[in-house]
Amino acid sequence: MSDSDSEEIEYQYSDDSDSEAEETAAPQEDSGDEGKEENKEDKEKALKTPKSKHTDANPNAPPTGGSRTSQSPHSDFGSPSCTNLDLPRLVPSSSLKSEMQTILSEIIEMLSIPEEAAGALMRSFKWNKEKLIASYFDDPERTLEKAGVLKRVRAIEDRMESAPNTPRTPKRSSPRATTRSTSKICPPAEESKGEGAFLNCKICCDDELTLPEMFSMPCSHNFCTDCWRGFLSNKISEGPACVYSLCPEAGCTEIVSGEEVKSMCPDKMSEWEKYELRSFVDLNKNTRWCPGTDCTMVAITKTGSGEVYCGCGTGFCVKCGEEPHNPVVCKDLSLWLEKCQNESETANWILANTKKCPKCATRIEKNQGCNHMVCQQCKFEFCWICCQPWEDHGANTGGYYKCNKFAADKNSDDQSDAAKAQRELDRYLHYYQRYHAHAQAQKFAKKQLEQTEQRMVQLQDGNTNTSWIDVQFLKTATEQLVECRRLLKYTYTFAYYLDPEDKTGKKERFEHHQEMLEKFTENLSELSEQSLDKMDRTSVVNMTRVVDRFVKNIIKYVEDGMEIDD
Amino acid sequence: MNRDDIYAMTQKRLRKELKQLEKSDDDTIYLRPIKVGELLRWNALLRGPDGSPYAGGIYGISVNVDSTYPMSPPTIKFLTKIFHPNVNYNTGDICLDILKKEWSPAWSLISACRAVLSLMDDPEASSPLNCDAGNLIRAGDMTAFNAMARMYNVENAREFRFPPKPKPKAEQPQATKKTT
Repeated sequence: MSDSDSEEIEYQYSDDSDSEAEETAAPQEDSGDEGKEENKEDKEKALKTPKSKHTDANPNAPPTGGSRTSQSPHSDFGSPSCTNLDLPRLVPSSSLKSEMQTILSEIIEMLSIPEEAAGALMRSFKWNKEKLIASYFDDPERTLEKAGVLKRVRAIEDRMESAPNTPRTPKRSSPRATTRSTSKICPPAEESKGEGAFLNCKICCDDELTLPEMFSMPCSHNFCTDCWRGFLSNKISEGPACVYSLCPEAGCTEIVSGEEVKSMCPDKMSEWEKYELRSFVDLNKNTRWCPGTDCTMVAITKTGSGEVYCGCGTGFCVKCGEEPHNPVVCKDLSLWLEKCQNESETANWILANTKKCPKCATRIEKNQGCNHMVCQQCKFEFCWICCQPWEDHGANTGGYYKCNKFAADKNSDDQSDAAKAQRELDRYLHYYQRYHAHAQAQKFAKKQLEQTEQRMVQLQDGNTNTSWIDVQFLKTATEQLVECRRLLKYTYTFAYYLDPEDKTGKKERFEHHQEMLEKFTENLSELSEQSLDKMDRTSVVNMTRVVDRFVKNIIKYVEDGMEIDD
Repeated sequence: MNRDDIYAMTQKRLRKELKQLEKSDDDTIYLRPIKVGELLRWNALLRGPDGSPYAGGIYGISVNVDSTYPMSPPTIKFLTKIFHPNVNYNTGDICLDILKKEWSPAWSLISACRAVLSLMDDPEASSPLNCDAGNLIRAGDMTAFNAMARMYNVENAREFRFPPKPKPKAEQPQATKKTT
């Protein structure tokens, strides 16, 4: 997964029409170990000084942490037209229309079809341009008919054909023949009777109508204008599916477009356009609404994958809409979430939110982020996750932080179904407990982040000659903590889906990375939670950097296919 | 278009349909409003198609429309219990595409009834509301399906009777299929 390589290529060929994009340069590709502070400074610079995009694309940039780094929480999602084609962009819903138009105009030009037809065509191919073009050049007739725009396109072509001096190379079968070929299901439009003859509307059954009172789509099925208005406004009031409305004639497959809405129900046009845009985002694999409450931003990508952090504070995966979940892939995440949902009762029954102190059995509620617990009653120190004495986790006692690995029970030779089920449940619970613990810790860390500003003010007040910049480290550390908890949470989902019988050492190495990250995250958690008078800036800053390196290491390890690393 | 206009349109259309029905002498479907002057609630009698296990039975269905008709389809339910893969035995609900998303305002109440009639003749076992009936057909056991359907037909579909034909006209038009 060499994200950055392809990014650089995209830089070179980036679309020049987005000229303003050069001012708001894309996120930096700086060397991976620099930490966020530098990243941020660079970005501020980038925002002030217009850079040429070629200087941005540092060809020597080492492969960074892939998706995580390239869409770090600090990526400049704010720039509406950044040239970095590989990265998700966030656009407000107000500029969706122009985004859609851009895509449509390519299709219109390439296939020389009217705009309304292009919209319906793209919808029927879920905005997958390549598939549409492949299908069109394979069998234009069928492609157009399937999308319900055959007659609309042919009508325009006929008009062009009848106009002199119109360059039109491919001679197509006559539209008459086309009508006949589809007439099995859809009765051909009635031949218009002579002037003055009365016409019949099949909807209201009024048979004393004159031609000016009638309206039809390019398929020539006439209905009276009142019925058209009723039909269209009824469809639009039914909601988003109105963009799939077909001609009211039974069996006719011609699709309704904005053209008809505009001429029959101009007052409903804004609603129609809203549904068109909605369907554009919903169908398109490369776009996703920000799932944040009341947020109307839309993430647009080239590839349909990647992680986005929206200005509203919501982070999400473009592919599945869940919270960013590397290293777990979307499929495993959805399996995992479903499993957790199904087994939540069992799991909840086993892990209530409180635990007993392993020594004195006092109920303890954990309301802080760190897993190093000290019982208020008996002062016993233990690990919240495995309930083992904390000393066993320290490097100084020779043992390491070992509670991330699942060791199957010794008596695993019992092959009865019940024993197997029990073992599988134990295995799941092992991972779920840790997933759950980090999910809770992530919540605590987020809460801590909300209070950080206040703590920063206090810290600044408590020390003379300390500037606001000097206390920024606390915020950076807490942000890092939130991110680490999120990542750790998903490492357990990831590990659950690794082969439990793995003999290649991949799982072992992954667990080593996980163990290191977990250990240092606990350290950071402890340091950043300290009371302000004991706060040691240097050690917090150092720990933040150390932890960041472990974050990058584990992501890189997974992205490189878990091959042996150095 | 406001609500009253739409309602007026519905009424006008239903009056036209009723007029058409009164003129026709379809002897397989008898479709009328339940009460005179109330055009949103209809009942219909369907004659079980010859050659199907429902032959010889008369099936009652309810046909209700709301003020969005004909833009939205009528709601049709069997009143007579019927053993059919696409009809819920207990509620009488029907699974038929033209009564759902394939509805077109150019269809009418009588054409919807005709569609129900042809569904009786030609069950669609792949989307069953009555799984037992669907499974019999999918298993290819038509003997069993026909026997079951016929039993329920005899048991349930003898309740209604077609109304006597209005006074015979001088020249009875042949009930041959019209070719257009």
